[in-house]
Amino acid sequence: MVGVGPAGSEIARIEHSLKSLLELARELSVSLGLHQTADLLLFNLMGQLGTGRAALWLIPEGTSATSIMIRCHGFDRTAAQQAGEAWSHTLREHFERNPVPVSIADLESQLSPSHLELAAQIDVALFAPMLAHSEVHGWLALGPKLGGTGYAEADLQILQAALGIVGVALQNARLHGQMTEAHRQLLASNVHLQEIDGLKSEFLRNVNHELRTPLAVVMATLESVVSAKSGEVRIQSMLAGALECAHHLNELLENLLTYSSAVSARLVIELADENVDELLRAYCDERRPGVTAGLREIACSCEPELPAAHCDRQRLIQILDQLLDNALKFTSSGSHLRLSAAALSVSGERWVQVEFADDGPGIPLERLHSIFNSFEQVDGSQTRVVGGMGMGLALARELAERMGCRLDVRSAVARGTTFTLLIPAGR
Amino acid sequence: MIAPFTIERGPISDRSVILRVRGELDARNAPGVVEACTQVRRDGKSLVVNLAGVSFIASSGIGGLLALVEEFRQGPGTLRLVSISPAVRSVVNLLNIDRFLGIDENEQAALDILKDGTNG
Repeated sequence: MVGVGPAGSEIARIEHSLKSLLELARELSVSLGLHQTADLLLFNLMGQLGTGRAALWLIPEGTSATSIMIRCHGFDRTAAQQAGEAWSHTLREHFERNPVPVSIADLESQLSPSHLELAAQIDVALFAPMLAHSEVHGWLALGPKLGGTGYAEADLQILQAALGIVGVALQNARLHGQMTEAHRQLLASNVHLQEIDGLKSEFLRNVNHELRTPLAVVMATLESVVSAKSGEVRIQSMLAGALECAHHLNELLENLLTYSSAVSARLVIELADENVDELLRAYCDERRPGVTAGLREIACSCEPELPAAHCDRQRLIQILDQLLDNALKFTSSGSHLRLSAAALSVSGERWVQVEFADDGPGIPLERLHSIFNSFEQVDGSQTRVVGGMGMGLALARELAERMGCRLDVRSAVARGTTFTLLIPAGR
Repeated sequence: MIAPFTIERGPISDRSVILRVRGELDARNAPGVVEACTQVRRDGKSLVVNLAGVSFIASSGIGGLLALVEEFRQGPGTLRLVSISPAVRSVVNLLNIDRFLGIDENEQAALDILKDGTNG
């Protein structure tokens, strides 16, 4: 323990700050996601500087959009969110000119009366920029120091040092996430292309069946007319030519049918008892870099002692992919996604219930029944902002049904959407 | 050997919950503690956190406790910290934040305060 007295106390404070910065650096060297890093930074600074309030906003990559509140501790959450949105552009402009911590008093001339009212409401004392490679990536708000002493010069230096370390770490994490996600997408698109190839064959087979029925009628009619040998020779000759073409067409269709059947046989379902807890956690870890790239958060929680689920692992992952891709398309930055699993018993039958929930815009009731139809999206207008064929959810339900599972959805506008997948429990 | 980090639920009543934290309260464990305590607040109950078993507390641990103090201040429940270990005490004294934390001698003293309905 360091000696007593004012000098001793000062040395002890410096020692505490150094230890805190070391803690920050040490933890960042361990692999941490965006949201864990935000928690680490905020708790660390709150503990160093002695304040009970801190929040962090980040700017979505490559955009001029409003900043997203990543974490908030101690502040009134709803008010802080509103305030963050209102201040976004002012703070960004300010920090691009002047990238150092600024007190609310020094910002007063740049904030409108309504902005100042919001600041007073959540009791914010200080803002500080999050920089990486001289670019503003976001900012932090701190509440007043407990004891009302105000932030000293030494506090601001600690703050800048901590934000510098974390800013670069977050930027590296983002770049690493982008790379991991790009790699995953390449692998996934390869699998997807193979799937599309399979679907194409199935489509061909269906078309084939549809074509064969009228063709059979055409051939039978032509055969009966040609074999009757009545009418003009010229017409007879033309009909014989038509019959020959019809036979040729039929042969082509037969070949096509054989080919597509062979290909579609690849779309097999291999059922086994799967550990859903382990599968969902691994799945979240794999998809997290891509999800957090859009400043969304994905969390996973499974009930303890979950029974095994009887399903095809690869197909289950495909279903989750479709649900997640759907959520990424239709929710905005800052949204929260949650994968969870629980055991369920209905009329003596045991199921594993996997839920995938988001807090996005939700789906209007009148559209809810048709979202599993092929080629349909909730926004059917020509000016819609989200691309895609509307095949994802149709494919997800098709795969679920092939595995003996049930995929359903419930949703509330402005509150979010939850997909529920019921998988038979294993033995 | 460092004791493993644990959060154990002590006696639960209609109005309050006791959580006993053991091990090193650092960056890795602070979010879990905050989450467990926030859940109690969401349930509308008061909370007593026993820190007797905390062998080390990092800045993140202190930050987590301060965040909880602020959140519980917004109600409805009350937060009391009890049986603070020497490791926690030295950092609390250093930062001069003991009067903001709502610290009691032991679990019983905190429960008495909660029963009286005072926030200390």
